[in-house]
Amino acid sequence: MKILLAEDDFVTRKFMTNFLSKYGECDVTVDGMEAVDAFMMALEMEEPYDLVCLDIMMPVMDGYQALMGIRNLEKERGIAPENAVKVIMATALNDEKNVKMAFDLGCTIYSGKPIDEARFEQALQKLGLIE
Amino acid sequence: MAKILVVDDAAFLRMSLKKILAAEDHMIYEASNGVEAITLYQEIRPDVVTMDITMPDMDGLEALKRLKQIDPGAKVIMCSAMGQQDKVVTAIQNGAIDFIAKPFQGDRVIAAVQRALR
Amino acid sequence: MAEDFSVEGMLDMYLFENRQLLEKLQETVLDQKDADCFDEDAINEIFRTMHTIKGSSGIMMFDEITEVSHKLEDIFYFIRESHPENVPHVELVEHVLEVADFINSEMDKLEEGGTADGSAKEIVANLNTFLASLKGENKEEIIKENVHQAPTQFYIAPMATASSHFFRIFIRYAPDTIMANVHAYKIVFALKDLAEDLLHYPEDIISDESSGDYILENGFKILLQAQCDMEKLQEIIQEGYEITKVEMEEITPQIFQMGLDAFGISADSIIDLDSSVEDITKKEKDQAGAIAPGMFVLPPQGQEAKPAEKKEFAPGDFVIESKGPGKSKKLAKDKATKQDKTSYISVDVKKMDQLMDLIGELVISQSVVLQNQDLKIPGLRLDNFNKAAGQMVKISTDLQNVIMSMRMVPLTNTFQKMNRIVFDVSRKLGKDIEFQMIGDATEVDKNIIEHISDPLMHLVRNAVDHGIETTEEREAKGKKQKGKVTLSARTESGKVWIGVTDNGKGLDRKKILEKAREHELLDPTRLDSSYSDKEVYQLITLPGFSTNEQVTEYSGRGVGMDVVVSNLQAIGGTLEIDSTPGEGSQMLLKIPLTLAIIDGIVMQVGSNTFVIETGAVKEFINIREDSVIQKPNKEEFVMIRGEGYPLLRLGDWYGIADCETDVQKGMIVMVEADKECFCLFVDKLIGKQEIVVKPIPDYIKKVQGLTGCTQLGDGRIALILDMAALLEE
Repeated sequence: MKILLAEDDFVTRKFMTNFLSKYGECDVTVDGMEAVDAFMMALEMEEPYDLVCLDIMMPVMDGYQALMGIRNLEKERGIAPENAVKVIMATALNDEKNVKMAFDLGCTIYSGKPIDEARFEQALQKLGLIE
Repeated sequence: MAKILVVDDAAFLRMSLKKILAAEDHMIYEASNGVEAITLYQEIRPDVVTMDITMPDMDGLEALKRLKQIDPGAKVIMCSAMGQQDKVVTAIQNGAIDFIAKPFQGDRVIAAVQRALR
Repeated sequence: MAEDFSVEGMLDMYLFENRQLLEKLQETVLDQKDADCFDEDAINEIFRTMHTIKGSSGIMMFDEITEVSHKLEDIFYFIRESHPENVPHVELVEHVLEVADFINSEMDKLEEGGTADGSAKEIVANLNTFLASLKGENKEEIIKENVHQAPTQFYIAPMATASSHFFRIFIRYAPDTIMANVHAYKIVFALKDLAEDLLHYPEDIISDESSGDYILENGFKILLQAQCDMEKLQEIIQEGYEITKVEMEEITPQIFQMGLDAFGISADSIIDLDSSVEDITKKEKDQAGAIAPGMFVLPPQGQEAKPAEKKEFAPGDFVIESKGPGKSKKLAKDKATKQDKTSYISVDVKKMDQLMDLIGELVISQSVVLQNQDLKIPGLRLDNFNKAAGQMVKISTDLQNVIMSMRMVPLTNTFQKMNRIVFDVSRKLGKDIEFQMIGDATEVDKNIIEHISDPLMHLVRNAVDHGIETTEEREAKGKKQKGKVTLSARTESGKVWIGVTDNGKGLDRKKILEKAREHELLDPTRLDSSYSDKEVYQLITLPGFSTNEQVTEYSGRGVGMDVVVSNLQAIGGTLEIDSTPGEGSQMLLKIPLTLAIIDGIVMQVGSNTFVIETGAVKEFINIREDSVIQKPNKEEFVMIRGEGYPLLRLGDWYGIADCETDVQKGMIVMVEADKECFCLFVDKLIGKQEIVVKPIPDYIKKVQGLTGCTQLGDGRIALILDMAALLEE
């Protein structure tokens, strides 16, 4: 599985890469814009990502904007909803409003921090990303 | 009052550390490279180790890793020169509990050792 | 600390909403438990509730809850669409309650910070069987299968358990420290094992060497979420040689979530005291309403944060109630809605307690002002002052009343719980029992509710288990087959009376006396016949008492009743027991309503000051010596308007030295307690004022007749008298 991670904090980035590498190859970006760029490149090379993991609070472009960017790219290329990339937003923000906006913008999984690894895996299973 | 193992390939650096620490009444042992350090460590079981980073044959990082394998509770203070920042970081990630910069400042060295001994 | 989390947290919302839904569901179900079948509204409600719970549980990935509500939804969908006949109603009721219980207990676990790890396999199997038999019995074509949409988006709650702490740490290094950033890294590295979340500034302290300079100039900032306490952190981060200063503070989750902006805010003052009210409300509106993409962009390292652009954006409202499908035969306006559409907010109970304390302090402080020595200068003209003071007192009284009413909570929920208990226990024992509630809208202080829940449960269980006879016994006695347990509540003279009444077999006086003698609880010289019925019944509240040959699962070993009484005493209440053999029993709990502030009459006896609640005082009388009659046993009576009333000289009773002994010089106070009047003799009256009741401190032995103490306006301590206790004398 190809995974794209966007996380600006160094320590968290280390943690997340460690954690995500269990499931597949993990590419790392440090802000929202880099993430959208990386996503686009992968699409063009026809080696799209299966999973994108976004922090919300990031420099240059926040997680929500990055998510919008990614979904727009997919729409432009006529990618069907079933084939759209699964996006996880992981953040300490636990507000209902934040969650709703994430879902409205097309987020697939919203996870509070600290990440409950067992449930994370459970969600990946439900989405058919892993066995 | 503690047993300290000083590891550095340069004799005069070992000497200067020894002088600083002996003033505090510590027992000083010396090793000039990583391999010697490991052997001596197992013999003496010092309370603290000061380890230079750049050494021939086996450098400080390697020696640190080995020591930690033998004794996960080993307390190692790295000695670093300017510009060895990332090596120090790696050392910390591998279990070094502190670092002192060269050229050595007496109080800094003593403070670091004292902290390590707690 | 779980309460400190923002209530808008997803998990909290989930729990809060579903609990409300399930509570309402249980009420509906129990209401119709004796009917032949559920009515249309009930079917729709149960369907909708299960549908909602299934949906939200699916998103949260609580699989067992999702499945069990899914199955129940299917059953009610079938009932709603196919209108099957002969649905086994009682069985269905039990299934619904079983499902509700399971979901509630899983939510209990989640609330405690645990996982919803229960298995609903058995329940689901039962539900499947039930639905299959429903479908089998009704051979008509099934209209359509219930369609479920599997959730495609999921929410994972953060792993923080109830004991997460949030810290804000600021470290300064000695100016000549070399590689300060690596020193900072040492700390981050040491913290990351116990950190649930960790933020620091500057962020890149490994590869960016200039970060060291930044740290020397501006210090190193850390935001930490961890299970440990501050001590542990202090161990890790110590002022030493390089570290010249460490500032460490525990903060709230809200501040923590502000990220690095949290360093501008002091932990105590989120309260803005300086801006005008308009500014504050505007700020709150801005913060509360709009969140928009782009608001979470962080400034690059080293730069000032730019204010985020606020786009006009209102996140959609949370979907509340969907209109139920299905045909409604009755007009909506003909049905009384069960729930009042009052809007509520939930308030932290700690804040309510604080408020109560403050209002108490306000009352005392008010007295200190109004009765101040400075005002007692003779010749001072205080007309304007008194007018203003009167106004102040009025407002403060209103304030007190509102605050106390805020703490008042109707007994409804507590009574509803009893409803469920009666149902469960009577079902298990095979008894047919009706449950009646009277006056459940009566409101009592929240504190009281917490203390009476257990005692009430015990009394209700007793009534069902021991009070009401089995159907056969009742038939044999010619009683109606259906037993009845009534829970009633009403307020009377500052107390709330809560009654548990049953129409069962009543208490057996002889048996009780026998048992009491067996356990040596009675005075061996006293004759059985000398005990009044009431006294005999009270015996069952003695510790270790039980006339049950078998102890059942549902009511205790006689350990219960004395605990009930002591629980009551903790809130100043009493238990009265009455019974008619063969016809039933009544347990009456009498609990003082508001414990905190009362209107009191202050009086002097010797050098002591006493207070009596105004409501208990009937009259003040000056008498002549010949009005007092003394009986041979030294008991005194006073004649007032031809009637004799027992007289209690407070000075004698409490052994007060320099009190007034001449009845003509002192004052008689006629008081009432429990519908009986008697008289007290005091030196003189001081006045009437509002009293903040404070409990008598533990280190002072309990004195009969005193129920508390208070501080008067002039600083004196006064003791509050308990009329009921004195009456016993």
